[in-house]
Amino acid sequence: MTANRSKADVTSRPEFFGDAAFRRVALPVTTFAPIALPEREKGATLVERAIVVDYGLGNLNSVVNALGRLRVAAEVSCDPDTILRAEALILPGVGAFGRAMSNLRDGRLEDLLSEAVLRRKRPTLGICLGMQIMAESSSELGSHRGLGWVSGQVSRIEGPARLPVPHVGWNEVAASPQSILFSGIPSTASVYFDHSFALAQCPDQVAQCDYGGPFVAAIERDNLMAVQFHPEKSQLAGQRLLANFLSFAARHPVN
Amino acid sequence: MLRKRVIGILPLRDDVVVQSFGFARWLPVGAPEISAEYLDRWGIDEIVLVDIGASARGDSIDPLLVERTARRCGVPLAVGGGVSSVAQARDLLKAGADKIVLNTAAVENPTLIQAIADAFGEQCVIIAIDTVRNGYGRLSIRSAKGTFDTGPASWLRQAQQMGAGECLLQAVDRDGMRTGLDLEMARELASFARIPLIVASGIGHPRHVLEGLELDGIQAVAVDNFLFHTEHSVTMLKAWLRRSGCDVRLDTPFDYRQHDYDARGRLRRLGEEATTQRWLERLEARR
Repeated sequence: MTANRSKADVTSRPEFFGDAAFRRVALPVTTFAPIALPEREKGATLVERAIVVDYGLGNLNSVVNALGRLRVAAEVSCDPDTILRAEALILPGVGAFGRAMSNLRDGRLEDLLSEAVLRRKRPTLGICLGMQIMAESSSELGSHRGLGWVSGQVSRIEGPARLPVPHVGWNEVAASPQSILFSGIPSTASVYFDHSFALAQCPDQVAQCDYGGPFVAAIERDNLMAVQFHPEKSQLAGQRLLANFLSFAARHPVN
Repeated sequence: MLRKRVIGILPLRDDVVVQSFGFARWLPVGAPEISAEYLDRWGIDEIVLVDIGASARGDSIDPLLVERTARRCGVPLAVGGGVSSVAQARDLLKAGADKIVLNTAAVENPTLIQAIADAFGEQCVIIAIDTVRNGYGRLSIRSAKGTFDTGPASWLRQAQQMGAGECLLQAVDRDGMRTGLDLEMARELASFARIPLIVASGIGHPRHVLEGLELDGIQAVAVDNFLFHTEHSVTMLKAWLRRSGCDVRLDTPFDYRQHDYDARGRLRRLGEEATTQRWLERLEARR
């Protein structure tokens, strides 16, 4: 009788739990998960705070949101003290090479970043244009000098006559098995690219992609890492890559 | 191999995602943040968020709305709706958008495309071309300010030259009709386009998406109405496409590779015995 049952006692009512018809309809969830985040229980921790360098270009909010999804606090900054003491630095970039370099120079960030990354060895991840500016030079809208942290020249993607440019969409990446960034990411996974210029070759390359010819998809050298694609926009594969970078930064703290 | 993309369009009217019919009638679907989150979780390749009432209002899409939507979006987000200046584009990109969609303002002033491409790069700019067929079958461009005599081919050539990065092709007559894409128009534009083309309007069956993706010069098909009101719509669509031999990305933790589809492209219900059988098999596997 409904009068005898308290309204709060919902779980004892058969239509919510224990009803045979309800049990039949609820299909179990499969536990197949091709890309998982590194398990915290096994000791893989991520840094607590990452610094996203603001030099006037770049999809800063996308990176901040992606870090938020990994429960990492992201601080957008161009302040010298913050950058020099960063546990992890992220260098995003969307736009033109020339403008990026002139922004870095005007903000006196070029020397600051070289000090932080090359001399103080802060773990750093460059994304898209952020990777390209690490090269020696680029031919985008004139000839521009880059930061020169890695060797190589950035040039326009050229392919067979009707190849649409920019290279935009999900593409596969051939990564070396020793790569830190790609650990746990299957070779069939795709990541999101959106660019018209690319770094053709680099001795520090760990991953390659092909569009109108092979080009560098990712580089790794000690504390310096960079990717041509957008991990903050590559769903699970990108999330795993960011987590790999941040757990690397946590495992290699610099004072 | 660069994969072909399945893009989700979220048309917005009065800050609500709507189903659109012929660009003239709309039915509400829900909040943009939630729609975007669902599409993302189900494995969409990209999302286009357009405020379709903005140009008529003389306004542009709200950056705060974009910020709320982008927070839950793990895939590239292209936004548009009344964007008519570099400053507006900058606000939207700062809020979390990855690309800007231009339509009405670009038709009025094509140099806007160049201005935004110069400021943020051509890969940030999508030119949306809405077309209408007149009684004789000739195509014209339509924007919020009216129909123009120019055909989409000549407008696309001009937009390409101005620095547009991609082109989104929509057909007003096919919008919401579920009779398939305008493949003839797509083929004509793909024959000379130098930028990636996205075709949209008219999807009512997964094979319509397949027809679009199989065309040589088309890189992506954008779907709106067909993805609404169905749980896991994106995943089922992609699983159907993969079964038909189309190499689209599908790496969600759940997939529908083992399921069958009926003639309407919908999931075929398993019988009771089959469901219980599967359930028992998985229970065994987990033990």
